[in-house]
Amino acid sequence: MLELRHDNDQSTLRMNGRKLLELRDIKCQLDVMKNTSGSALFEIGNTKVVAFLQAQTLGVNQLNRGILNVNFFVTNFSAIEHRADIKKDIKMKEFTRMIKSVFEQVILLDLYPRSQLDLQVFVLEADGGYRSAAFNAVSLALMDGGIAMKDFVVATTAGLLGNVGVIDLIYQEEKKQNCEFVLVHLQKAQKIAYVNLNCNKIRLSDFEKLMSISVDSCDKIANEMKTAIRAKLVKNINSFYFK
Amino acid sequence: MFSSFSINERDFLQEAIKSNFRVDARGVQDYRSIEVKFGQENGQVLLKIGKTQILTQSSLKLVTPQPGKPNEGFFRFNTEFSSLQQAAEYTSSINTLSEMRVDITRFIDKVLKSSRATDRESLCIVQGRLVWSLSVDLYLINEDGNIMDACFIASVLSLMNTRLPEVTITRDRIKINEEKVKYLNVHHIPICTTFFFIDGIENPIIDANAKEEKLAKSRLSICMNIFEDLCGMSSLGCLEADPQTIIKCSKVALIKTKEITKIIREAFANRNNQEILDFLNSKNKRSLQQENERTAQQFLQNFLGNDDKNTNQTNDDDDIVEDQEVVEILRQNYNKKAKSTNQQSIDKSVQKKEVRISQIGNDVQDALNSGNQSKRKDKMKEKQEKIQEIDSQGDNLSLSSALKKKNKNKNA
Amino acid sequence: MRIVVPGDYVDEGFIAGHGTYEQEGKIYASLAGIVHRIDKVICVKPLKTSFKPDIGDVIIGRIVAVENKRWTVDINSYQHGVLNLTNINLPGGLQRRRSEEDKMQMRNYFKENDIISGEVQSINTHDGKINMQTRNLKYGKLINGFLIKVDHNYIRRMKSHILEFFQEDWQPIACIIGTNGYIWIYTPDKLTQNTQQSEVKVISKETRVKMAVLRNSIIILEKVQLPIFKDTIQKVLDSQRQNAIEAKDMLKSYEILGKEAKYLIESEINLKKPVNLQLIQTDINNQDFIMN
Repeated sequence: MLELRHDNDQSTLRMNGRKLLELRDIKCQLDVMKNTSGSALFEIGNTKVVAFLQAQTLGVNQLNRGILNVNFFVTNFSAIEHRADIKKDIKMKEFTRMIKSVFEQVILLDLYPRSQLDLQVFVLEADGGYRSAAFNAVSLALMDGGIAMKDFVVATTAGLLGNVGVIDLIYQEEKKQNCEFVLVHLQKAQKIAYVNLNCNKIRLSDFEKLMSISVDSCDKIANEMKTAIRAKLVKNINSFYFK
Repeated sequence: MFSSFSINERDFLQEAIKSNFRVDARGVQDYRSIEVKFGQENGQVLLKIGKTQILTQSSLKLVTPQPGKPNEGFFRFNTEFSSLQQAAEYTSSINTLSEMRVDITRFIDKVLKSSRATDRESLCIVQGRLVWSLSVDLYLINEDGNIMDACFIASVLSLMNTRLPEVTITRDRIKINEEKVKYLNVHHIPICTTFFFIDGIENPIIDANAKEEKLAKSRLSICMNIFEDLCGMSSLGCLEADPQTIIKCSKVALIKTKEITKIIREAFANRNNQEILDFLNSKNKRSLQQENERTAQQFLQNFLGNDDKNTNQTNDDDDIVEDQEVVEILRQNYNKKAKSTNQQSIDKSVQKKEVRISQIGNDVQDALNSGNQSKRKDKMKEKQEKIQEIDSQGDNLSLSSALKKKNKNKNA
Repeated sequence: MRIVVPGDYVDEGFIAGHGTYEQEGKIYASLAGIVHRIDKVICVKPLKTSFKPDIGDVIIGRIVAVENKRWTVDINSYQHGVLNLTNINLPGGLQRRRSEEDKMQMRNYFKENDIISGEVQSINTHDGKINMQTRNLKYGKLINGFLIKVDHNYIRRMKSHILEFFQEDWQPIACIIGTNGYIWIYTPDKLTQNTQQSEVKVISKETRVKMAVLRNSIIILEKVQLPIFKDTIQKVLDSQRQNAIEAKDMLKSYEILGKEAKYLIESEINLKKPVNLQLIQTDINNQDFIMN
């Protein structure tokens, strides 16, 4: 299967007919689970990641800031082949630490003394780019649960097909592992929060390309997320006048 | 954040870094002194960056390959961070020592495999049946900040210093010759540079020592080689950096990579003049050898019944045999044998030689254990003499002897 | 009225209230919600909050632990509430100093997993500790009923949190609506006016049916996203009687039952809302992916 093909009017298309910098369809849903403090489902194409937040109390007289616990889980039915052994997977442990380290510094934990915020992130379907989808789902869940954050966190995945920079890889494109680049961006400060590059040797010039296209696509994803949040707030606007 | 740090110390360090003159008189982008020592054992490297010390050793094991990937061997990187005195004190603001282990092991694994520093095909002996499984053990001896870089460089170096024993397959047996001939093929040397971002300071610092690392809120590790290829990147914590800063960092990383690669190449060239670093218990080593020989015999039995042709083919396709002269010598030996004596006598003689070689091997190990250099040298000389005797008898089919003959022919 | 997300710039020159933070003199939002300005304070009200009690709130809680001279109570908030031994009503209404014997007999008053109703006495400023009290005769241990949990955002502060329904029948059903989202439905004693009941009664089937009807109506109000107070509950009960829907079928036909209550609320809210928003309608029909 060709990775890239050229159309008659000389615009290059990818495997599923997308242009190089085109994102798949994004769907964000907030308040997906009733018993939790906050929850969100983030879908991009076929990749679905759901995040649940539970704000709990600690009995012990702790520090004067809250604690964030993250539990990241790639379900064994999420990939094409069913995976039986998940508990020993060191990849998931590594990624939980990544999520935790970023959000620990973005959430204003000083406002939640003696509390514990438990985040459960589940990848329901992994069709490429589940790492950035996880960051987005957590960000939405925190906003849904009313947890104060310094900034709006958005993430995106980019890659290289040959020498060409593309946005939002699907599973087949990711598998070749020419390059998978995850970037987490803070919208207000316009700064980068997290970078992860998984590749088989790329040139520095290609890397600069990747950075610039990722930052642009973060803006697009941020807009989608914001419209979803606004829609939810407007839908429930009457509840602001209940009291 | 979770730093067990006095406020005065923290402020002083921050001011020092801001003024581009760190507490130990380094610049913001200077490494501490890097010392590399290669050992004689397989994959043995002692790496020092300032006071941080890492010791590595690698071990090889014979296994069957995965059914889906018949000509790929296995790599594993294990890290041991259980140094007693550090475990209690080490609380950097980013994470604790045991948590770092997961990060570091995964990063090394990911980068060295996907960037093809060395490929798994080079560990293949018999396609579909026998491959090497190489496990590299990293021991943290002393921790003084910047463990990520140290572990990464040490693991690459230990790959460079790994020697694969040749495996010769004759009719009924597999012989693992511990006379190490072939170095593991390392295609390029990726070097990791870690940048620590400190709150309130725009430019990140390189190679923080333990105290400076406590100050840092986030880190960015960039992995490059001297051919300007970017091999991997990973970050921890919320960087809050511009895209330009990250690109600047990668350019600085390139410069540092070139410096460090130079140091490494010099050290590798001088490796034979260094002392032998000896810490692995010889008992473990012997049991590993025996285990390898046992597995080898099993595999041989398994496929000897099926294919005699296979063994001949592998002898021919073996990458070890490259030189035409060597091939001729082997053929001469084989023809002599076929003409003169029976198979059984050949086997007996080969058996005797094996026993002798294993005896000699034991002697050498005893010599190593004793730790007395002069005795060791004598025993090494004895061993060499004995091997020459055997070679002169002309029955040995192994490559090392063939090569020696070739060298003799050249010299003579 | 502005909708903001975390990191959005809000304003300058005001005091940063809840849901905002200040940086270099400018105020930025830290929550996703609607901006409110009250005099000089700017705050952002999110859609969902964890329950934050105020002094005087009526609360229903579950005893989690019995400690030295106090009980820890789970009140569905960011911290457990604390009920001191000095703040409860001794049986018989005695007023005396609590002695060592009282301390040893704490389990006779309340033990673990008991459900109590009480009031918030005070909140410590420096660590947010919530102190409860049950000094009134209408508060105390709850029996002869059951608990339901509801989203606390649908409950407002009312004059009386103890409501009675089905008064025309000879056995009324009452409910205590806790501001923290816990609601207790029970059968009150007709003779005494106290909610503190001392004995476990035998409850007949008809009573149980009525309790179930009341419970279902409250759940319907939550599902239709309407506030829960006397008038709305009454409307749902009325429409149930009109349409002659049986108790067990109530939850299926929640739309019909919630209609009347909806009209009531919408007219009430339209008075409060600014004019340009009155045209926005609520729509609960598209439920994409909801797990309960």
